[in-house]
Amino acid sequence: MKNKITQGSLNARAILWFEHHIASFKLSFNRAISSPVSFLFTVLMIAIALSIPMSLYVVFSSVQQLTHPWDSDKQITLFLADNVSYAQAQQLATTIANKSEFVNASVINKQVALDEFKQQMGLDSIAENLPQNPLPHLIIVNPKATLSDLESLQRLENELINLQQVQQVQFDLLWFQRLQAILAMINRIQWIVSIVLLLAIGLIIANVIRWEVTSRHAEIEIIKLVGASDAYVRRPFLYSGFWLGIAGAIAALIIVSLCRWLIQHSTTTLSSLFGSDFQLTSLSIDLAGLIIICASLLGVGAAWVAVTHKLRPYC
Amino acid sequence: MIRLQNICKRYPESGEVLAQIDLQLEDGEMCFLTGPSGSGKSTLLKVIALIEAPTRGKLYFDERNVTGLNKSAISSFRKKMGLVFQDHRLLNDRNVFENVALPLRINGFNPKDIPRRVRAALDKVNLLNKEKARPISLSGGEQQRVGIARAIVHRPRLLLADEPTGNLDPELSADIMKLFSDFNQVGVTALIASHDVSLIKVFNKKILNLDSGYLVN
Repeated sequence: MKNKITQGSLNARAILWFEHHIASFKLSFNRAISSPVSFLFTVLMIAIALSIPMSLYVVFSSVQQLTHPWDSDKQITLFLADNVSYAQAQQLATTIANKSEFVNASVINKQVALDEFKQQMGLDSIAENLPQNPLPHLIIVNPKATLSDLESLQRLENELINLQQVQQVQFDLLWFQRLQAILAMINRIQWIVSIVLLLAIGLIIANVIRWEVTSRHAEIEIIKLVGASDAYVRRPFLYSGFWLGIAGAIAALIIVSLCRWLIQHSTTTLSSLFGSDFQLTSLSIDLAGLIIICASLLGVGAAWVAVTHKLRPYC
Repeated sequence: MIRLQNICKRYPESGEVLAQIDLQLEDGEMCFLTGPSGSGKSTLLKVIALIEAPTRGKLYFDERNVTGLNKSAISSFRKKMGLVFQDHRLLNDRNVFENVALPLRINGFNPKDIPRRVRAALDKVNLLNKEKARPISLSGGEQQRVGIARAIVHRPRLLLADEPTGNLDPELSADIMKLFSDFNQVGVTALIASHDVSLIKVFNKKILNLDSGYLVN
């Protein structure tokens, strides 16, 4: 049998293997479009399941974008002890500003603060009757924007409280804590929903492939009797899973983009009433590509599990 | 080439179908397997093709023990043989050409050689003009000949046929048996199960008689 390639070079065997992949790729595509209604129904089922975590992502990243300015605007106010002079306060501010955790630190002279207080509150007469300026010097400190986790901010606050010249530290960690907790909760929900729905998509695909294997029982039996390996039989089914995954992902991207477009106008109106330029985040090309790749891999994986299990009785 | 040593096959529901079968088939030999319906002919062929595992005993192919091979080794083993079934077992969603080409594609033959080999096989069974037809549109005899073309297209070393003339008229049956005899003359080892004793006697080959799971001379 001199024409038989399996006895030839490794290269020739690789070509045959590749050719069978191309043949399976075409065969599975033809099978999918030969029953368009059932294919479309399955794809839509996958797309709807996939569009839910994707929509959550859009909403979550939009909310994050909204909280970002608050995040970078963290400000810590240090009330210095009464006996600290303005010069000492300035020296302390320089020391703090030189630390790596802070962007800057500026001193507010207690006299300036009192003047401002008078002006703003219109309490000139009361203030003038005070025997002495009750306000201490203040230092306004801005931590670096990158320090956004609660733990490091708490550590920073403690560090500042422990400074000898500092009487009191005002840093509203509570709202920050609440915001972080809400974001963490949404993030967690997003992950759980994503995992559950990805599992559901995997099961949908596996079930469709199981059904396909069952309906092709006679054909598989014949191909196995002629000497086909499990891998040979499995290949077209893996591509069927691939087609379901990729078509489901593309349909989901269309659904999410369509929903975003439908909501876009009302969010813009709403945010403009609040004087904000808030917009719903769109899915980037990179992310869309990643979703398509992951969904097709999920399709192949689910099909592999389903076919391997179904092929076990065939010998 | 094939040696069966004390092969037994027992099914939980129908009991012992094959009992202590000892059988040897030399390279290039042609042999008929006969016996009444239910005597175990199909089971014996299934055991040799590794479709069914024997309950006891050993099967040797080229003096190599092939009982208990794993699935991938079974597929490689099966590539060396051609199987013909009474019910043809053709793929009805593919045409005759594709059905016959199947073993060549699975065996990894050069795609450029496939049309030539398929046509040579179809020519041997006199079906060259039917290569584009679907099996469903062919007569029983034609479908059987497609099955035979598929079994011999990759020039297997061993040909196993289970009642290949079961549903055919006597004239067609003789033609088909003649085909097997022709293949045997070019060196293919053949084991053919048939209950049609008058037909197989004509060929003057070894006849094995199976009765209630036992080989009788």
